[in-house]
Amino acid sequence: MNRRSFLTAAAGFAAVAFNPDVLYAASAGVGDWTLGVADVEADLAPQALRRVHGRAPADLAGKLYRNGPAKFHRPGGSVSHWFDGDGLMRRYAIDDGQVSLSARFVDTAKRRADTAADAVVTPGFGTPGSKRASVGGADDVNAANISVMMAGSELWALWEAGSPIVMDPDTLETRGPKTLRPDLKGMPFLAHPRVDPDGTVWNLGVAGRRAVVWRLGADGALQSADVINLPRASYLHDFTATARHLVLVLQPWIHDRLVTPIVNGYSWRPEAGTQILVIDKADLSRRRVFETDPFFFFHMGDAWEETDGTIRFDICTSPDPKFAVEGARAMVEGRKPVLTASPDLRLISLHPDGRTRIERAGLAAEFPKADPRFAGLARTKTAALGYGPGDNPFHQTVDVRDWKRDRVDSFDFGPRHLLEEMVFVPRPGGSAEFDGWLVGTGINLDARATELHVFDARRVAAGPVCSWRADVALPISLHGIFKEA
Amino acid sequence: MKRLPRLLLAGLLALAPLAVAARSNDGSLTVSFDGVSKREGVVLVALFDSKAAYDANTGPVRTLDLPASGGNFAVTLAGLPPGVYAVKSFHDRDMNGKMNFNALGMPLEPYGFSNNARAPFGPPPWRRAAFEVKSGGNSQTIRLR
Repeated sequence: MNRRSFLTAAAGFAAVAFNPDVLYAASAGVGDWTLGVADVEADLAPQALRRVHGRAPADLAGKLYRNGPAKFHRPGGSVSHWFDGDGLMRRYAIDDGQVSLSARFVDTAKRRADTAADAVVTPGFGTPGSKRASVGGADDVNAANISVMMAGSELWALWEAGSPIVMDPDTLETRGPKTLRPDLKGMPFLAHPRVDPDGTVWNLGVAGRRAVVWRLGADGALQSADVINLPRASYLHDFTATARHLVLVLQPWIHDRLVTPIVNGYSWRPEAGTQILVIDKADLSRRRVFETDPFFFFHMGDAWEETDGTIRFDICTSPDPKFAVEGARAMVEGRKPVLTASPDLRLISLHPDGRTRIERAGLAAEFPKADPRFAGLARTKTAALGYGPGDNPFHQTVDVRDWKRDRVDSFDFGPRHLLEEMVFVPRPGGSAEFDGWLVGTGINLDARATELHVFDARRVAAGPVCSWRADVALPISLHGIFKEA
Repeated sequence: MKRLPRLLLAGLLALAPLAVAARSNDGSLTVSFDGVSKREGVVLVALFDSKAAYDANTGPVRTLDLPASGGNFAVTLAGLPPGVYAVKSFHDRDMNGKMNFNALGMPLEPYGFSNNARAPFGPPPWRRAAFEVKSGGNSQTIRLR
């Protein structure tokens, strides 16, 4: 072997050993759940979905918007974390039993830079990025890939460390980052705003031990933005609210190092326990801190307050941040995440005397959703997605936990489905909790296609009342909303 | 909103009075700017000749304020002793003489450093922004963002 061919062979070996794309391709035969993290190359023009099961409820009409990462791999270098793919906004328009699906990537500065470089050069939550990236502020790295909200007539694609990105709710054309006031440009805006029944939107933006508390009107206009101090620099992906209080769960996964990627700057410190900060909505300086056992979490349900002042909320907890650190990395490399345990649905009670109580639902589940008409008010039900026993990091069951009756209604799609979050849609004219439908999507692995499912929210175990199928499989999205017609 | 101490890039470009260069010299530096999207305000520029001055934001060897003419423009600084330098600059859109930050300490006005050096959580260190000025002509292109 001459010197030249030796170098070529060595370079090839290095590429196979260290290029995640090669690992990804090599794993394709292992489990086809990797369809859930496959790349989408182009926007999807409107296509009609085909009804494959049941009959559509006559009075279900509106748009399901769902957002999530959908472009992970590029020839010159790929993301190294599921949360760093480019946000793809999906729009399922339901009308008169017909469903039309369209999808467009959020046209972010990050996506433009990565497309121009033919490589993921932009740093992210778990992706280091390259020196070729030109980053001036948070919105240059904003992937706009976690969730979505309506703000008046605007559709906002949400990330968590930068601005909302405004899109047209019909054409899904991107209009650009939202600046709610000139001096608030580029401020972080979490992906999980809480909406009062009157439409008032509460949200946070977190930067270390400080946070901005956003309050918007139902029309999306800014009402206030106040900066508060936090007891610790926890990773805060979600928070919750009662009618009177904001509830911030400060897990012991604490940002203590200014490094990239961001995820590497957090330390897991179970000995510090979990702090729960309760803040008066009317006076943000009035606050109380509860202490409880250490746990990791991403998502919470809406909170409420009993007449004696006890605050309750549901939350999906894990023993540690292993999924955020390693699991979501493994997924985009085509490896099944190896976790300590799946997330566990729990109900936390904060008592006026300072005690906290954690009640387990006995249900491994994520993506908790409640009836939005009861946001901040007493309620009994939580919808969530459960796991199957198979070799698949995604979800295969739809579960509704009734906290009052202490029971779970469940429907298992089986191991050939990868499910996405279910959102509740009220039945027109109805007012009782969960009088309406759960509407959600997923991938049917045998059909290699995305499907839309509608359940009667009070009879989930009976299975979907109607399902439709697209011609394509879009990768698993994270969060959605339903905008009623 | 309550104004709070600025964390990120705090006091990045507190421009000190022009320091008089006492040494004789034969270097010149042409600094070109691009990315100036708005024809408003001025671009403030500070040139430092030591890590200590750069880190402390004091005693720049030259300061300039250039009308923001939009698009690309350049300025030449003549009469520099050969040596190692770094440039800090920002687009002072509202011409208040200082860089504006939001309440969480993030920049509200476009900025840039020599070598187009960037750092994720604040101004880049001297070693990344520093460059050599040799006898004769030298150039830097800074993209403000």
